[in-house]
Amino acid sequence: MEPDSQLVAQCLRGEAAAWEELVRRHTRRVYNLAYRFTSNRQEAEDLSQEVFLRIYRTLASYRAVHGEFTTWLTSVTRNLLIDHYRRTRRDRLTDSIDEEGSPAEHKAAPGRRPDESASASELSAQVQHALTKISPELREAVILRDLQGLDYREIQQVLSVPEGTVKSRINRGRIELARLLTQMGVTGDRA
Amino acid sequence: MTWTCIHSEERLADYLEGQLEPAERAQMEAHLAECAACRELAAQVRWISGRLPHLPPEVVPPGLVYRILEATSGTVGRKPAITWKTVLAGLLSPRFALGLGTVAATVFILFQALDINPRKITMDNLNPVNLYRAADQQAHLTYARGMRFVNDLRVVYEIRSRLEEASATPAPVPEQQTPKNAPAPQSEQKLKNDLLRHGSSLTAAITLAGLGGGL
Ligand SMILES: [Zn+2]
Repeated sequence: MEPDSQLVAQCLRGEAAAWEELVRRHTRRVYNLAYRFTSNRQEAEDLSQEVFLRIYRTLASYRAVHGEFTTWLTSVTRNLLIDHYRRTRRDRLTDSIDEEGSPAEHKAAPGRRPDESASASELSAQVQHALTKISPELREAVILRDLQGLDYREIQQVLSVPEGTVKSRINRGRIELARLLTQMGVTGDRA
Repeated sequence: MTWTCIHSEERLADYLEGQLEPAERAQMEAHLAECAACRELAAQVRWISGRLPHLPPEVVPPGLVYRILEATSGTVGRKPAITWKTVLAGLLSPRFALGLGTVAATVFILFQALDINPRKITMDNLNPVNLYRAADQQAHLTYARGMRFVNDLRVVYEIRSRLEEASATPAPVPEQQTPKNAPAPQSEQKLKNDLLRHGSSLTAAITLAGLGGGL
């Protein structure tokens, strides 16, 4: 498998197949980050398109020396998510009667099932619900570290904050998430 | 320093990842041994941090990759190269032509108003008393002439803009099946048309200027 930086170079030479490969390779990452942050599938989809459009237009400015392609991609995604968050903040405040995000999606956490995959997707929905309740700073830190698997150095680059801040946000984010899940009755010592 | 619940929370991630110095670790463990709330919190955080990396990813909606590819077909990450053609096209844009025309008209009006022959500007021309007198005589006539010239230019500009809008909107861009970096095939022809069109509007402007001068 060619490294991303090579695909980028091929894209810039006009090879459409290389761009297609980059998109196929990274759509899941971008979409998941957007979904985890917004809790809304339609918004996540629209934002993913926006991310790739921006990547596409600014591809020539990417330099491998500045870090991994995925770090750059994550930065672009994160910046668009924050823009989107700020843009839609007023709408969210005005419909505060509704639960944040799409309520139907959160209630899709029915009774427990014994098999592991069912309980994993159930937990996934519960985590999603809890994520909507924590501040965007803590939310993005936890998503990047624990759901997207970035290391501290990469998160530092994406968020443009010092390492100490990254660590403390991840720590506080996990604590808030843990408390919310406890309140929801979702704990490690259930069956 | 007494180790409180606040310290436990602040150092929790480091503790769980085994990053605490032995002294801090001992204080943390002593606190956890006597504080049930912190013990429960630590257990819950340990549990959820262990589960998060293994949660199943969201399924990407069908067609998303295709929609992204569709939205991004065309020139990848390239700014159009600056060539004499693009520079010329810029100079001949209707907005620029109008600007240029207006400046020319202003200079023309000024010289007319002041009764100055642009080829023979003397110190006498620039004497404020002479300037004022000349301006007063010529002002009405020249203002009317100049305004007509600018208005004519504006008509040319508006016609140009309409034409551009008309040629831009109705032709739906055919689906680009080859998202190569081909520098848009229509540009060559478009430039020719532009040159012809601009050429004629410039000619019109020059003719008007000539007429204005002849009046
Ligand atoms: Zn405590």
